[in-house]
Amino acid sequence: MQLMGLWIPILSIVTYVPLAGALAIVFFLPKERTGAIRTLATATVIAGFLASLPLWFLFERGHAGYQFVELAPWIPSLGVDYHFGIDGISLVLILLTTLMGIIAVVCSYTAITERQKEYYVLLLLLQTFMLGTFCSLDLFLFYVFWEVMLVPMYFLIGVWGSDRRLYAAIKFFLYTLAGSVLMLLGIIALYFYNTTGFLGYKGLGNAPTFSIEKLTVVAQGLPVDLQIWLFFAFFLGFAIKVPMFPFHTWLPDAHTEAPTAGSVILAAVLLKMGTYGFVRFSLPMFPDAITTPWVLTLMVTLAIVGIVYGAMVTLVQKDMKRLIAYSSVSHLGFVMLGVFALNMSGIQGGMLQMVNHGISTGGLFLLVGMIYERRHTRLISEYGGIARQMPVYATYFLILVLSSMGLPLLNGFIGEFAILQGAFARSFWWAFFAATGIVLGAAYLLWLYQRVFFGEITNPANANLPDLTPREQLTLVPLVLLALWIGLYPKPMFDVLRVPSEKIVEAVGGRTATEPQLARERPSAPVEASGLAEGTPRP
Amino acid sequence: MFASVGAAAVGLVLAWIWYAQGEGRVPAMIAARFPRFYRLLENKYFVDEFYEAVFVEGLAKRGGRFLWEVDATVVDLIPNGTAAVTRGASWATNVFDKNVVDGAVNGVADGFQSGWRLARRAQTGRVQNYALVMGAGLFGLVAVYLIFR
Repeated sequence: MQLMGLWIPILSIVTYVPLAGALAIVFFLPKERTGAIRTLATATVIAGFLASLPLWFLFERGHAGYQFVELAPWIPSLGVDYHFGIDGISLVLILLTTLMGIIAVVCSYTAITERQKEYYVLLLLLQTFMLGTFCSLDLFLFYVFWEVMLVPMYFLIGVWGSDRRLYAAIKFFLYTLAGSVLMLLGIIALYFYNTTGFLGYKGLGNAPTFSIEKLTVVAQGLPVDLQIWLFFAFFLGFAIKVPMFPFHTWLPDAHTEAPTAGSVILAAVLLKMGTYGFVRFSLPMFPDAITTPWVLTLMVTLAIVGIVYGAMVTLVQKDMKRLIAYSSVSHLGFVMLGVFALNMSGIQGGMLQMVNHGISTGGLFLLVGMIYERRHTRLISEYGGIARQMPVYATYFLILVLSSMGLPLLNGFIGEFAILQGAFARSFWWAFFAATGIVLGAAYLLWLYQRVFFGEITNPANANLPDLTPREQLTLVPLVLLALWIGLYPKPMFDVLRVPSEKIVEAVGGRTATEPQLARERPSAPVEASGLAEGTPRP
Repeated sequence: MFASVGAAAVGLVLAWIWYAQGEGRVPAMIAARFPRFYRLLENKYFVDEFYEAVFVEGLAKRGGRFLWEVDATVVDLIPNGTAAVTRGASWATNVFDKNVVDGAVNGVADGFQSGWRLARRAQTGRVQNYALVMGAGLFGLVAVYLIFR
């Protein structure tokens, strides 16, 4: 980015500001100075968010390539570069991450009372690694950030989590790692196909590179059978992260046992890594694999099973956090359905829903954390009638529940509608099952809300709960505002996401037999009304 | 449209005549004559109960609980089963390592140990034994020399 004639590596700044804060805490603040540690951590994440804001304002919506690019050779003999750059998808995810960073730090003030120095350092490190993953345009660099992200998360869950934290942490770590290692095999296979070939496949003989742009082009030229293999190699890594059925079972444990900020970051950002991976890698790189009928059917089936199965299991949960965790499986099933609809509506809807899910589910985890701090139980049966005692809390909770449910005027509806539209264009039955998921979603969320907030206060322990403090409200207000803004005026988001979606649709769409019949048969506007005379060439 | 408006109008008129004017005697008579029919109408065709039983309790709750069991056991077999297999394989590898591999190492050491225990028996400390061995050795060497000259 150019500022007054000076080139500023803004993406690196955004990525490493949290790291700088973490190092400052490690070296300059002894562990007894908890107040100073919290202040420095907060200042760091706020600085990180402010540093990321120019990205939104300076990003050119219509530009097809990557922006704010930084390129420097790193390991020349292997063709590895330090290559950063963003497009529409990474932009919104980076902003979501930096915002969630502030919220995660601020919400931890009272929740974390032991080993605070280590906690905030790990949270900041996690922030850097997540941002690095979104900015990377080099597969090696991407993989480094992708893997190293797991380490602080493992500690956050394992040290500051709740009763079954050790089981949850190791399950999360090993499960995700196993998928990622298979993805690494895919990356290496692609790398070697580009250079010297492997296992009987003659290589292209190009100079070695890990650049995502170049390898995407290479991958698109792969023979279909090899594409399918590599697609499934990458698939496992991403599907476990999304999480797609049946690889989702790490999620309920990890989300439930993690500390509040850990759950928020897991839900808001880490789950998006999987879907981001599909959109950035799988779809552009392996279009022939994806448009192979049985592969596409399998993907969509898994997505739909995720939606409906996830929603049904959510309905019977007795622990609030577990309920919201399972609801993430259902929501991300929606995102996957949108992505695999392989059309503009679906992909844009899916990407928008990624952000929406971060806002609504991140917010719900925040809220559950707040009541947990007061009552130290997450069981729904322990609550009831909370709205009388904590009306402000009940209001925030209701707004985020409605957002998660997809009520019109809030963000969830926009994403869900676009996804349904995209799915319907492909097949009525896809949309039918997705709609079932929406109904079940309303069921479990409203039922949760009713059991926790409405009715009489049956449990005397709930009789004198304090309502939200200003600090707690501060963490919720940005989410509510975003939910309303995206719900009422989603155009800025769609503007940012349009060009990347077009690129993806182009990469896969050219190979599909269908673009939705609905779009083709829509009557075009009369020529006179648009002011174009007959025979005028369209711009 | 006229049919529905007509039906509503008839209902209004009848309700007015029967309940507002006539204290509900006629409907009470009908209810007494056709008790089952009356109960059906009174309970709104039991739609609520049907819905509650089939969809809420049956499909959603029981279905959900069943799927949760499936999730916690069958689907979770992917990580838990892998963990069990890994633990089993680790245990087997450990047994192999302790017995076979380490056994080989210890076996070599034991072999050496048996070896020197045996060799140690030659150190009797008695000069007579040493003299005997020396004499026997000398005899042997000379014999070998004379035979293979």
